[in-house]
Amino acid sequence: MEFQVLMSTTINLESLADVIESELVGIAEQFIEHEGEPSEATQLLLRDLADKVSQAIEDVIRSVRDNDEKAAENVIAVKDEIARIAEEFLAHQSLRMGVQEEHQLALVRLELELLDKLRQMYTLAKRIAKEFLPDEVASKA
Amino acid sequence: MLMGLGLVFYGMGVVGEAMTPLRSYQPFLDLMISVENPLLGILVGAVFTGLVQSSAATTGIAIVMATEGLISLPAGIALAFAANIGTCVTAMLAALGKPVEAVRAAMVHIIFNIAGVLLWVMFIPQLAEFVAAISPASPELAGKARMAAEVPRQIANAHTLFNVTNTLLFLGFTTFFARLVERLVPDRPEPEKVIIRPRYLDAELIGVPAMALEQVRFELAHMGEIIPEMFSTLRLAVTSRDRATCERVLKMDDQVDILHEAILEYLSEIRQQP
Repeated sequence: MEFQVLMSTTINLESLADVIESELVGIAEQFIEHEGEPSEATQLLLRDLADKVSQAIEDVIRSVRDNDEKAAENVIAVKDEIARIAEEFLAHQSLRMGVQEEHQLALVRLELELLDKLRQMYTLAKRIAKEFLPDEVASKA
Repeated sequence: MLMGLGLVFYGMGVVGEAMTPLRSYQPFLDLMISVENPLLGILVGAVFTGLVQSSAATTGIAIVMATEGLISLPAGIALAFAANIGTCVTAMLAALGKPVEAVRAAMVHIIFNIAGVLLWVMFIPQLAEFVAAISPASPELAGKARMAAEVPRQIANAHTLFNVTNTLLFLGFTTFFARLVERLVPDRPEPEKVIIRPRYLDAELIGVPAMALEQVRFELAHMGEIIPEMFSTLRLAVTSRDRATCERVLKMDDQVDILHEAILEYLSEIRQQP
């Protein structure tokens, strides 16, 4: 049992790093090259989301290292918060879509990609966290 | 420290007592006659010191032998010189597998000791005469009894004189020695940079799967700790609009890949255990 858990954790952790390396770095470079900046509200939402994802990753690593169920629970606990921020972000973007100029649409597309990758990272963190939770808790997550 | 010194003198006393029968043991006397030849004496003494790895022991034994009237002053001086060469073995052994600077320090010690002996070896008779002149004499005694009374102190004085003079003499050549050993022991080529290596995957634990899996867990955390760092570095890259920082993230991912591969390999070895 433990062997399987560690095997899948190894793969999922590598996938997490892979999302950063193969997806987020590219998005970051495009953000750097892009002349415009996300709006205040978008920046706030993205920062909030990135903070939550970052915390979830740190928690999941603690759960792996210390076999810490509480840390794994913390990862699952932010699921609704992540979903809420994502919804708010999408709602905000849909309002902007109609009024943006073409070059700003590229920025919106980047922001949406970023949102997608951050959610993907959280999903991977959650998948790892579930491995370190009792079955009955993990199945509800 | 006092106890240590006491033990040294006690040890010398024991050696002295043990050597008393050797005064009449012909093979030993023959060996001591050969030691009268300074070059042979230096060779014998150096080998002995190298074996026991203690120049103090050789010098001490030379003094004790002189106390028993077994060796002359020139032979005693040769043995004391030999101790300086033989003790180089200790420095060489200590420097094995050590960084270049340590090997160079050992090399300086070796050159200093050997050069010092080579410098003096032709002047042993003159040194013997000089220390005989400055050391206390026992004119009331004669023959071996006189030798036994005078020679030990003379050997000790010669040894002191030899080391102090050499040190003062070579003090002016420290830069030369430094350059010389830098040539003799050049810098090692830079080893290929290791990006990262597993910290917990102990091959010896593979046979104990429960413990090996525990190590995997620690290694996973080791690998995992790089990921938040990658993420925060990337965020920094965006906020500071610095593409070079993005490159750092790619290098961090190389570390993750190395550890990932090592963990999978370790896990597959665990699985192969009966």
